[in-house]
Amino acid sequence: MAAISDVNPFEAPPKGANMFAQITDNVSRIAETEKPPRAWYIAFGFAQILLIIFFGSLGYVIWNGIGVWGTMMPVAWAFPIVNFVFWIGIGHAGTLISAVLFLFRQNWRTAINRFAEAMTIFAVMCAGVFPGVHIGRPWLPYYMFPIPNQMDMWPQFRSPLEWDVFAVSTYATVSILFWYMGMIPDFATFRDRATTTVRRVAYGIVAMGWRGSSRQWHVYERAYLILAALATPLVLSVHSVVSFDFATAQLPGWHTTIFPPYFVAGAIFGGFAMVVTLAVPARQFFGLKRIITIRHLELMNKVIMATGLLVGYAYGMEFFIAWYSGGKYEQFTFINRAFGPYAWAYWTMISCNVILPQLHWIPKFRQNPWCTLAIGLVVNVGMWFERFVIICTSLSRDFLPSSWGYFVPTPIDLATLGGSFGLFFTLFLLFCRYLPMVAMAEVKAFSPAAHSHADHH
Amino acid sequence: MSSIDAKKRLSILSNAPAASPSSSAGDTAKPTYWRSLAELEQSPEFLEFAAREFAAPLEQEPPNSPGRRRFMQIMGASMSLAGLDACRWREDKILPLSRRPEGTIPGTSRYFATAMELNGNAVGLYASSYDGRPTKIEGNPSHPDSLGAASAYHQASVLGLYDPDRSDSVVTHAGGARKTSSWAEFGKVAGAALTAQRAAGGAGVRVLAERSSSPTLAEQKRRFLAAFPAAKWVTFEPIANDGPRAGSALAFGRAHRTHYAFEAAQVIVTLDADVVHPTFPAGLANARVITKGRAPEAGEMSRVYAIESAVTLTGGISDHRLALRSSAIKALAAYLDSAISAKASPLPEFGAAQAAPAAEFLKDAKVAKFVEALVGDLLANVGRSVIVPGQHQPAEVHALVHRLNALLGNVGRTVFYTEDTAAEATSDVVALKALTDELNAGTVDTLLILGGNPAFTAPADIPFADAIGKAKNSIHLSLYEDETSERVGWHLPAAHYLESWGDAQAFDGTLSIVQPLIAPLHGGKSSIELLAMLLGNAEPNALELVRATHPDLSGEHPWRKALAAGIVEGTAAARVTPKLNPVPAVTLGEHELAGLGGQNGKLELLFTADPKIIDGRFANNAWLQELPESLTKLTWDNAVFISPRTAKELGVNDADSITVTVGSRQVTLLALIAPGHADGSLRITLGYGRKSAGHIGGLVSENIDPVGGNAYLVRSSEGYEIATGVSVQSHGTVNYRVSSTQDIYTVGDIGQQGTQERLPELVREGTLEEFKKKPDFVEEIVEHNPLLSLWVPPVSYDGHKWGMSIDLNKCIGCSACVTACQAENNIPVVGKENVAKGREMLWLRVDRYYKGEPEDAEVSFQPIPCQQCENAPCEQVCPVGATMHSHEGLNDMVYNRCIGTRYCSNNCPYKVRRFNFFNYNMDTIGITPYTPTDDPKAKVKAMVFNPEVTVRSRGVMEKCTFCVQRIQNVKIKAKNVKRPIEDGEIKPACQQTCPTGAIVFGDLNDGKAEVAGLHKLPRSYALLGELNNRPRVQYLARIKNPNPALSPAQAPKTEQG
Amino acid sequence: MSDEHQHSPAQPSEAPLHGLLAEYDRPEQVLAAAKKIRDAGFTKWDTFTPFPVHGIDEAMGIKMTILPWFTLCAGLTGLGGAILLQWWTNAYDYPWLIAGKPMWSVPANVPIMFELTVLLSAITTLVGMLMLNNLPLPSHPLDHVRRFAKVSDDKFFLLIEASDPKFDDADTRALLNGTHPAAIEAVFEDRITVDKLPTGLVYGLIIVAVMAVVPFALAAKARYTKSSGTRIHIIQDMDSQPKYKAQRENPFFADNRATRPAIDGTVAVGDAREDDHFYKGKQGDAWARTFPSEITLSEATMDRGRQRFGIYCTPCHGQAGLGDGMVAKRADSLAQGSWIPPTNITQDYLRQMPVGQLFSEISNAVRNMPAYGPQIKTEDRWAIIMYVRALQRSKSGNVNDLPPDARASLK
Repeated sequence: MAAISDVNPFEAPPKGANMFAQITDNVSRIAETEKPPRAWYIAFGFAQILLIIFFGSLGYVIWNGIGVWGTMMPVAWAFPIVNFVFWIGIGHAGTLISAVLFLFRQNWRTAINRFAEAMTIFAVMCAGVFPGVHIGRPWLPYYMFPIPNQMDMWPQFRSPLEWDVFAVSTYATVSILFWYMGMIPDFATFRDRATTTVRRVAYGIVAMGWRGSSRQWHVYERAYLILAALATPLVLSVHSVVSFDFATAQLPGWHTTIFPPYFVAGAIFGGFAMVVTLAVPARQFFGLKRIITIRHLELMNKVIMATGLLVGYAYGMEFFIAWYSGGKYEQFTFINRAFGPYAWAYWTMISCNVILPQLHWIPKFRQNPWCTLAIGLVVNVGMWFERFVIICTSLSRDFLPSSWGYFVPTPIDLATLGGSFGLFFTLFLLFCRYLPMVAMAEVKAFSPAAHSHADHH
Repeated sequence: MSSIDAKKRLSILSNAPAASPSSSAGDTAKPTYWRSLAELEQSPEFLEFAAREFAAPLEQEPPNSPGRRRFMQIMGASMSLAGLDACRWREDKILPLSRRPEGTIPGTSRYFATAMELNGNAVGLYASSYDGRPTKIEGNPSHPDSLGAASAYHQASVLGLYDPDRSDSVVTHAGGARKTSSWAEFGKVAGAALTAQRAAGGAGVRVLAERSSSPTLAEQKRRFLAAFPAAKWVTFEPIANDGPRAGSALAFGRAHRTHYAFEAAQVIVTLDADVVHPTFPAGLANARVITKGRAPEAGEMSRVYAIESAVTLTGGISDHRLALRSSAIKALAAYLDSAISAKASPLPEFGAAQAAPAAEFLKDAKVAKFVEALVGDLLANVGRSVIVPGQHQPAEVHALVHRLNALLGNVGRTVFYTEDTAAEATSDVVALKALTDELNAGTVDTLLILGGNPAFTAPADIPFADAIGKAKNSIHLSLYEDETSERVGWHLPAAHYLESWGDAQAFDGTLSIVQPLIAPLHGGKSSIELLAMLLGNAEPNALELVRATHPDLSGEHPWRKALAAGIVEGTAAARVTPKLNPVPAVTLGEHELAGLGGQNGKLELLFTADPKIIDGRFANNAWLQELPESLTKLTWDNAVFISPRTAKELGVNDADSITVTVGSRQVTLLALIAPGHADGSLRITLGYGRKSAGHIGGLVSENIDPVGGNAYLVRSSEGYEIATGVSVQSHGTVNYRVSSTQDIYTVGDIGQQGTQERLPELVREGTLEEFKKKPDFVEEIVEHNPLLSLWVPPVSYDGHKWGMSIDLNKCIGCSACVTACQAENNIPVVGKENVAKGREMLWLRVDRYYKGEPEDAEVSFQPIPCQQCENAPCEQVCPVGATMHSHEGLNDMVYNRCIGTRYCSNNCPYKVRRFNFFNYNMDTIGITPYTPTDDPKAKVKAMVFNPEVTVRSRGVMEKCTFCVQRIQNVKIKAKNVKRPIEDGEIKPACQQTCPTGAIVFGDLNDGKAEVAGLHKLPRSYALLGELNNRPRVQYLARIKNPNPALSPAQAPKTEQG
Repeated sequence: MSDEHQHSPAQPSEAPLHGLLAEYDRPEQVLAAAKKIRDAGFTKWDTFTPFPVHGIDEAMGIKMTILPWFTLCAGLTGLGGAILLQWWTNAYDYPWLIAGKPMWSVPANVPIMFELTVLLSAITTLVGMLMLNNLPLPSHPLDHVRRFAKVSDDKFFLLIEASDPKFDDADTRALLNGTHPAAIEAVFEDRITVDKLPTGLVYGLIIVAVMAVVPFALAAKARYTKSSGTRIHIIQDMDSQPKYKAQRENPFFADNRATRPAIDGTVAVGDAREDDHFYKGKQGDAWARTFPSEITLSEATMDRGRQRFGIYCTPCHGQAGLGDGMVAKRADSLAQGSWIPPTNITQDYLRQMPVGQLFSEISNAVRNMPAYGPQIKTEDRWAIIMYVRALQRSKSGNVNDLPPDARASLK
């Protein structure tokens, strides 16, 4: 399989070989090949096991009550919400890469935006599971939707949780639209290359009879631009709204105004980390080395470094605010965060999110795929712990010392967390197998050949 | 795997002796409770700490683990669906009575006056009857020992009534095997046995009874002994009570009861006596009177000195507390006598004063200073002071105190005496010893045990349990088939006090008639009925027997009056002034004279009745087991209390498993390092470690482990109350979660610092001088920006405006309010494992804070109900509006809307919200929506629920409602007759039961309402008011009255340690 | 020429011409071609490319799409909808008192306004795009041109439709030849694609449709048929609670009642009843001849008495107490011997009877009149007696009993 990627589709076409065809070929074959690489099967099997664990643990929770989690008083929110915020954070890079970078005309995005978007959608799906199951009566989440019912009961729109419901569902919807729209021309490609009826019909349906007419392209590009323009503020809003869950609360350590930007920065940080974590193996095993080049990785690492510094700044700023506010409880919370019983979590977060990413200052480091992968993983861990620190540490010690507590996760907690990765990877691997992993049309559009006519006049 | 771990852990744990290093080898988990103290000295690095923390409790309790099975004994099927039928809407049938009794209206409840007796003292109670079922206990305001208050175990007695573990049939072990039998069968056998005895005048008949003040029982006893002149009647109570009897015999020649008029006392000195605890004679009344005399608004405040080993509630409210070994009290009393006699020149007939004892501890500077100041204060308040000795103190101490009170001219002013006609000639232990010897000698033919559980509570050196079998016929009347019942020929189910007619006397002799609220659920009989039965009356009528005992109540009117009032006026015993004999010089052993502290082998061990389950009789009461103990906040357990210093000397760490050796006997228990405990002293509470209590308290026959460790194993007749020469051996930590509701895990240096920093703001305190100088000093403790709101509140609460005031100066931390709340509001019990996870459901909690150095920490209590904030943070974050504000300012919970996001709890600064992580309520009852509910036991248990309050199910948030059902009832009542609601007419359960009246509820818009006045007091403050939540609950700052001679050393300002 | 007439084999040759298709290898070629065709003034033509070729819009003279306007309208709708939703639910239909905040405060509602704005805009944008491109478009004449499959890969095409007024087979072909295409092919109208769905698909859809109806059918059945059992209710939560409200069933007791009879001889708090006169109608051992002090002779008491009498007594004794109540009448009409007719309470012996005795009989039953003690409050029983006395008086009184003015009015 590596064979097909030996030709660099970005160079001027070698004689006899057409560059556009190369791009099409590189990307399409991944979905067309009879047998994906063994690595795919191993990964998929692993993902399946995790997925079973996921649904198993959720079933156990729903049957017995959420007491089987370690959630307790005062730490009434623990793993489920930590996981929720974590996944929502991951779900940012995709739309950000495709939308924001698109608006800024960052053409290098075309190599990665497609599966970044996929990643976004799958992450948001994982996130979406948790608010539903973490509640005490998981059979009643529809109480949160504005549905008329016999109790004449409406949702309470002053609650940040209610904002979440709308923010997350809107974000999921728009991301899916954006993703799908981007794929229409590529579906057409798959359809036209289809060798079996099933593939032709299947891809034909999703391609909706796209035939690449320039008049269609015109509307299409306009629509894409609008969606990008809509998605950009949306991406910023989602994590801001999620951060309101904490910022609008009274709890020391939650009640702070810097949360929205801080959360968004963190989300981009974690999101890009996840992208590189996925990109490195993908380019390795699906022969996309020529499409997702070292340059792309390096650019992403730079983004990671920049946002990492932002996050680090926020960590520092929290302490400054606590000190400057003179609030006794606020100050205690942060001292307790760094040196209290959960200090281990805090320092894990700091080293993963602030210290280790600094290695990317070294060019050799940020240009090496495997170092990129390593840092990506580290940052993911760090970002999970960031949410753990914010939620659990603050809750465990609030105003009255009499009601302090210490949250300890149960195996079910861990199973639910690990399992959610099963859902994520299952979806992602299926995506790699059956959908266009790279936006072919866009790559072609930005390939040198597409612009060579410019030389003529 | 987890559940297996859990099983293993449980089996290791709960029978304490097994908790030795061998059995717990390999367990890396450290118990976390009380680490806070350890860390006051040295704190471990947080990383290894984290590792440890995460190492152990990762295993979690599956809902049907052994731990939870403790409650779910009767719900084997509950985890499985009981067919489709269970998935249908359940029908309710209404079965009205064809002829309604006069005065009853279905759905309304009435009070009936009755009385509950414990250790020979009765407390008058009101029991509310709903549809003819008792549902709630309150105090009887006209009863001298209640004054309207009831203690936790009074409140919990309703649960005891509906306990499905109660014995429900006559059981015989005749012929070895256990057979259920019938009263008739028993009647035949017993009748035969006794007729055989009549010839010999009943020489072979022995009766072993609990102490009782019932005149009717006394009458039955008289008749019984008349019928069997040669029979013997033995009284045995395991609770300390011989000191007073023997002491007064020593001082006055015969037994008297001592009554204290604390209202007239300016200086109150307790010598190892917890005078405000409900287990102390007239304790509830004492609490009311003492705290009443400590209201700073009155200008004058009494001053309380507490000299005691363990921290007691009295020590908690005292102005000055001296931690001193119980065994040193005698020498101290002798010293006081010598010092005071020297200055007071006693009357000659008082005899010679004690010589100043050469006690080591008196040389200690701190003690010397304390005693000197105390003596000074006593002499300065002649006739206005009172000294109270502890019940478990030896006779000599009591005698000396009688003398001291006489010297100080307190007798007749603050101290009164009445004849103790009920007192036996010898101590219970001696009597029991004699009985046991007779049994072993085989001279006992028929042994009748009326109540009690002597096989469990007998001193370790009296083999009573084994001797029972020696009697040809042994009969035991009791509520449960307990350790004693297993050993007798016949076990008879007893009637609960709410099921039987009877009578009882208060400590001062005031007579109360005990009315039944419901016919015996399990066909039990009272002692009165049983005796009548044995005297040949086949179908005894307790009511007639009781009436026959009180000829002066024979008329209909006096009788109805007595029943309606719950007391009979003017039946209090006459006060006498006995002549004081000279008190011989007391003998002082080395233990009494030793210095403070005490090295291993020379320690003392104090046995006290457990504040919750007393001598073990309430061990099967889940409410009491889960009630956090006032000071340690310990639930579902007992432990050995050790002072921090002594623990260090002995190398005992907090929550270590330690073996306590008394003479040749040993018991292995958990060590708890108790701040303020006296050095060189250990304390164990009795009543735990029961093996046949029931599914709650431990039932080894069904693999339900005992709760806590059995202290009776080391309590022998010498050193019965205070054992000396005790040694301790630590086994280090065991994998054992102590379930306590506070300081449940390592607090650490930072935590300690933070706590000490904010304490002065949370629990605001001052001295009387400060208060007089600046009544509103509480305002200055927290300075904050002006509390401006972004919004104009959309409502002006111009109708009712419910509010509450809690007086920290009055709260003694007895926790009666907590159980009252639990009983009123159907609050579920969650069990040890869930308490350990901080999931207790108690709506009202009493926070306990230690201030200053652990060696002599000051205690303060703070009851925390829902503060009913006007700007409630919980409300705005609920996405479904399950909690919102009523127009009377109540923060309402709408259970059936709640989906359980738990966001409200996160945003509650007071953390008063409780969450049903499992289906606690229905699980513990044994009914879930999916199990058919025809299990009779479940049916019995379910009767304890208050019909007026929702029984919450799984996944729902809940919290204090200010007892909204009571508010509504009164509103309806008032509306029906178109009258306004009077102040004090609505009482939440907590206020109603509070012994000291620390909690006051009412309408803040009603200018005349007491609560409105209290909120206006200068020392009234809102907890965390700076958050501008505008709580409707306000606290009255605590005011102390320290002796200038002893301040500032102990003035409350020196807390920031 | 011949190669230019290579139809796909299935293509029936009599199919009319759809247009001419030119194929190009490079984007700039099609761009140049497009300019030519545009200048030639064709209207019904289009170019097909694997990706949006830069500059093709002006090359073809494509006008700006109106899509953004769709989006704008949708966005405004979303915004308005969000405001309306939140105002209606929280401030108007079910106003809540939450955390001392106003019923309607805009800041708390901004997030959802934003979200709904974006949501509707986004959906409209996609749908609008499809509409304007009239997608989905299942079939097209070009589908049957083999080489056209490359359009989504690396080839570029230009199609001039035959329906274009300026279209002329020969000239147009020449014009296209002038743009140096890789190939030119005639495209014929689609006669192959049958415009009906494949049968398999049809059946599939039918099955799906039927399945979709099933749940509604079941719901309807459940709704309109009678069932012996109570309604299905899977998750019971707090709908049936293990507590005993008034008069409920409890099989633990022999009589299945959770209501327990009061124990004989017990006396409720404050129920001492020391006043025999009031509670028993006795003074000493004799029946009381006067009303107890608790009862005041007043209009109010009398009204209360009349009202209670009307509720409890009239069914048998009749409005005037003559013993001619409805029950009595009915009993007479049935004419069964066993019936003891109710007393006429205005009889003499009853007028002589002491009030205390009347009270006692009302309270504790007399002959076959049941005891009303449990049902009627004590003071009400006395009030009834007061009214009974009035009735008796009214029967026996004469005109002199009336107050003077009333007497006057009679005359």
